[in-house]
Parts: sequence; structure tokens; C-alpha cells
Amino acid sequence: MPSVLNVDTLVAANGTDPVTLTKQSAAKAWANIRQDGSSLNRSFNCTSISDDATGVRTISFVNSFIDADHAPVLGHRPGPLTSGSSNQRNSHVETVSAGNVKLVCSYTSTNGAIIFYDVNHQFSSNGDLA
Amino acid sequence: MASILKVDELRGIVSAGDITVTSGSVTMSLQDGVAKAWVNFNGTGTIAADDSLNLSSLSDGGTGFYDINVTSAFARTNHCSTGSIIGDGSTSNRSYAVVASISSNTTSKIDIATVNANVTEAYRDYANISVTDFGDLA
Repeated sequence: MPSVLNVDTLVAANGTDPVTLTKQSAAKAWANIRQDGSSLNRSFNCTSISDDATGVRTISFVNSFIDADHAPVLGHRPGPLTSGSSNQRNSHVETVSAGNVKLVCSYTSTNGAIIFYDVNHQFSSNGDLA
Repeated sequence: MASILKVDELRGIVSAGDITVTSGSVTMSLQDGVAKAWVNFNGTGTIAADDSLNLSSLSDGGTGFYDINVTSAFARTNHCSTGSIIGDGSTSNRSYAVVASISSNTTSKIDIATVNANVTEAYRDYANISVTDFGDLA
């Protein structure tokens, strides 16, 4: 018969350190961001969003990471344009600090100019909190 | 010596789905940080998952388009999906994944597209695609 432990909080035996989960860990922050960058649709450990410019937004964490070496990954929608189009949108993480990440979406126009574009960014990050 | 608690299932007392853990000086929800679905799959030929969590099936929507269907649905459509690709080593096929590309995500489906980021920027199938999804389940 499987054992079930009913508990509200898990903490290491010393009463302060994180408990170790065998062969798994939890993300410390994630967010689904409105396409216009005005707010967070859904999020975890994210306190605010700054709509810095078209296609550029900074998400701040409620609880900061221990340093800037956490691991943000992201996706976005809407996605690509017609296959073979020369102005496909692409997203990347522009800057990372312990307290926030800046996300950018842009494409290169047919004349080579970089055009920034608002998208529904979705990101998560793993690492230790401060 | 480190203490080890061996148990098959954890449930919250106040709420079965609410357990907090410490991280640094912070106490935060364990469930919110746990991925509710993820998959690593081969998107070429007959598409197939190499490994996964909460995966019901994969659908091939044509070159570069995939639907990831989950067994246990999300509570809302705006769950949080991220994805990436391992390229094929060709400098002419540098690529990127876009999550939820053509139609919107539903509570039980994640849409992604994979694009060859060279000058033609065409949709392309890739052999190693990874997607992770966060959010509350229904």
C-alpha cells in the first residue's frame, strides 16, 4: 500500500535549509505575459512587469535568486509567419539579474532593420533563491 | 548524517494540493514550481516521444507543426509553455522553437512550431524538441 504523508511545509532537518527532492527540482519562477506587455496573465514568484518598449519587457521576481546565474527559458506566441517569410519573430533573454529578467522579441525586416514586436512571452527559470 | 523520509505521496493538510518548501530564506509553494507537463520528442518522420510527463499523445500538423496533448488538463488556457530545439549541427539550419504558434493553446493542448532560422526561415522538422509547461491542473 502506498504511503501518504500529510504535511503543509517541508524543510530540511536543521529547520532552515531546503529539503532535497530526489532526482527532481522545482522551477522558482514562471510567467505567462499579456501580448501587449501590460500585465501577467498567470505567474509564480513574479511581482511586476515593466513594459519597457515595444517587444521589450522586464519581469521582476517577488523573491530574488541567489545570483544572476539562474536559468531562464522562454517561448512566445503568436509564432512564425508564413513559411519562408523573411521577417520571422524570435525571442531571447536580453539581460538577467538576481531580481529580474528582460525579454525581447524582434525580427529582421527585408531591408535588414531590427523590428521589435509585442508577443505573448512565456518563461520559466530554475535556480536557488537568495 | 542526513535524514531521509521515504514516502510515496505528499499531500497538504489544509489543502491537499498545497505544500510549501524552503528555498534560501524563502518559503514558497512546491506545486506552483513543479512542471505539470514536459516532453522530449523526435519531430521527424513518424513523431515519437523519447521521454515525457503527463503526455497523452503527439500530433503532427505538417512540417514544423506539432500538437502536444496532455493527459491531465490544465485549469486555464494561459498556462506557461517554453520550448527549445537541438539543431542538426548544420550552420545553414540554425533553428528555434516557437510555442503556441498558429492556434492558441487549450487546456489540454500545447501548440508549437519549429522554424529554420536561416535566410529562408521556413518551417522545418527537428529530431530533438523539448517543451516544458507550468500552471495549475484542472
